[in-house]
Amino acid sequence: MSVILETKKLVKTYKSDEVQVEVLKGVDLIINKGDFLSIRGSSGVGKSTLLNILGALDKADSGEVCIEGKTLNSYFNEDGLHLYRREKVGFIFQNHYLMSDFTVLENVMMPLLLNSVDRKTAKNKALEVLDNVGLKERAKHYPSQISGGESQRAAVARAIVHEPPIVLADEPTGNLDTKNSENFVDIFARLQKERDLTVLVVTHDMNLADKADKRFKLYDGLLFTV
Amino acid sequence: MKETRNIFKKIRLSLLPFFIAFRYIKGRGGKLLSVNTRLSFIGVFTGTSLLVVVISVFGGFQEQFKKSLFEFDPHLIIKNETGDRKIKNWRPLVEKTKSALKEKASSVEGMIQSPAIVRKQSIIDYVFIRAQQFKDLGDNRLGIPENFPEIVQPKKLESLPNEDVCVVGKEMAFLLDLKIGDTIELVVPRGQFTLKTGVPPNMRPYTIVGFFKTGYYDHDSRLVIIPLESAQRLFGISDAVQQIIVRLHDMNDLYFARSQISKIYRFLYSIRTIEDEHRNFFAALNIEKTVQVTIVFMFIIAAMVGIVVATYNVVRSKKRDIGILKSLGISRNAILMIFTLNGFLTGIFATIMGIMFGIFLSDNLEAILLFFESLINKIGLYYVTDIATGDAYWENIRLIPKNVYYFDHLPIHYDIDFLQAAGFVSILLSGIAAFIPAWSASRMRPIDIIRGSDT
Repeated sequence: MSVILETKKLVKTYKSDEVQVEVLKGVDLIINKGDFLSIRGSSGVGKSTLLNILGALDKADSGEVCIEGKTLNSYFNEDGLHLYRREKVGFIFQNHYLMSDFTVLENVMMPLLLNSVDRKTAKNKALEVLDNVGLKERAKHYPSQISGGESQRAAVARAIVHEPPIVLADEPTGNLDTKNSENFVDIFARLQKERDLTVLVVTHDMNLADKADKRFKLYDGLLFTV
Repeated sequence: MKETRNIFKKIRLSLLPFFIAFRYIKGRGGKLLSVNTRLSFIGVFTGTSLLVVVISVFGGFQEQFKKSLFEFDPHLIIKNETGDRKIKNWRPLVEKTKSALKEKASSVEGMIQSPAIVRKQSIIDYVFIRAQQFKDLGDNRLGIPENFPEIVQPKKLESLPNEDVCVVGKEMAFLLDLKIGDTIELVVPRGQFTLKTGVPPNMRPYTIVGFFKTGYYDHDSRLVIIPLESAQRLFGISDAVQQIIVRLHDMNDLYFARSQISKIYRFLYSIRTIEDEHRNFFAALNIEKTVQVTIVFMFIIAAMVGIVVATYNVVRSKKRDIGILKSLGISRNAILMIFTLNGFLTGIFATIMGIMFGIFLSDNLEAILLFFESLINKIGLYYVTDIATGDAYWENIRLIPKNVYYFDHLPIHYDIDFLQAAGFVSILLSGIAAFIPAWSASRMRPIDIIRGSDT
């Protein structure tokens, strides 16, 4: 089984005035192709920070992140970092973060357009993924015209449409009610299996965390297998 | 094949900022323009429309003044600065001047111009006599020269009798209560100054055969035009003139023409241009031009502040989108392009529309002012009318008082080059104005936006 992502001794400290909080104290993690991992932990323990570092939205103080054998540091110049985000990861945030001026379809097409896929192919591919998440009929709606659960499903479609090596999900059910949350978990787990997605999800939702093949807990800046 | 595919990929990627910028400009759904775009559009549109109106009206007044002067006044005046200041051998000099200037001169002729006293019964005033050559039509008739000002009364005056006749300004006729056919007496100095007698005056009656209008108040209120031969009799100078005057086809040739003829008229003569003769007037026009350019810049800068504010608004309202797009892997340059395009395209659209509307407004400005004039007068009259007696005293307000501006209509002139330059500067500054907030947008860190710490 090939390694998609690997972290070595990741350290991250937040400094504000005279207070220093070391949230990650040397996190080691290996994610293989097709893995479905979940990380739980109490609020403020550094789960989102870890995810942001893996998604190149934030930078670790020390340690190394390798994706498909290439270190993240090699992308760390202005020409390369956006390419890493564009090609290597798909993000799902707690808030759906769909762009309000674009239709659901256009939102889902966006990662493909950023990867220079022509509009026709991008449209067909986006419609196919929207069909997978049960939103084909809502393709021409604007985010304000669909429900929270539907928006989060659209966000999933956007994260996977360009088939990134890894999908990072930060509390994807955090803003959903129980029914929508269950529905989302079912769809998400099904897609992971069907498309053999490599997924790392950070969540408080036991239902979602339990669907993962490998479950971790972040405690005192370190990862522990549950 | 692979290289072609890569080129297509690059083209597709470079078009994405246009797609996003257009959407931000348009707004979502069936809207024509988004709220922020509407705000910056209104700023630039209003700025450029008013700019066109101001430039056109300023330009109109200047052109009207210049036209009044240039069409009638000599462009170059050659004077004898020695002796009795007369030019006796003027006919060969006129021919020499014509051949020196060739096709650049529209006319070269001898002229007498002098201050005089006009008397009509008990009314006495000072005037300027301008004596110029009229065409001899034979049968004791003189034809009107080509450069003669517009004759407003009688409507058709194609020739005049070769006698002591004069054409006077329309305003002078009004001020001195002159009518066609009236006789006025012109009093001028004649002969040499002596200690015993001073300068003896000469007086001659002239019959008014017409009224002219140049549009230049000083001329229309003070100038009396008489035939050259008659003036020579009045001043007691046989075939001599006081000046040789040149009119040019193109005023841009003024200084070239002066240098050309200075080779003919050495030492004894002075050559003055129309600008020398009306130094104050041209200085005033230059000041007006400076004020005009300053106003133009103020308008453009005000509109640009509008663009900066509106683009900052767009950036602020789209901050979340910037975070999302960056997390999806859009580059800094693409973000910079999206928001610069946002202001730039709005600037182009608003400038073009603004110039078009400004031209429409200028074309109809007089009608608009007349509408407001009648509206103000109606409202004023209504409010001053005594309901019980029906008595009212209301002096009508005139927004363009004709006695002050001395024009029949509001003069409008479009300086196309100036409008093009102003439009170009406006569009260029729109881009620069949009670039500043766009630059700040491109430097935003997605993590700050997503965490919400930068909101």
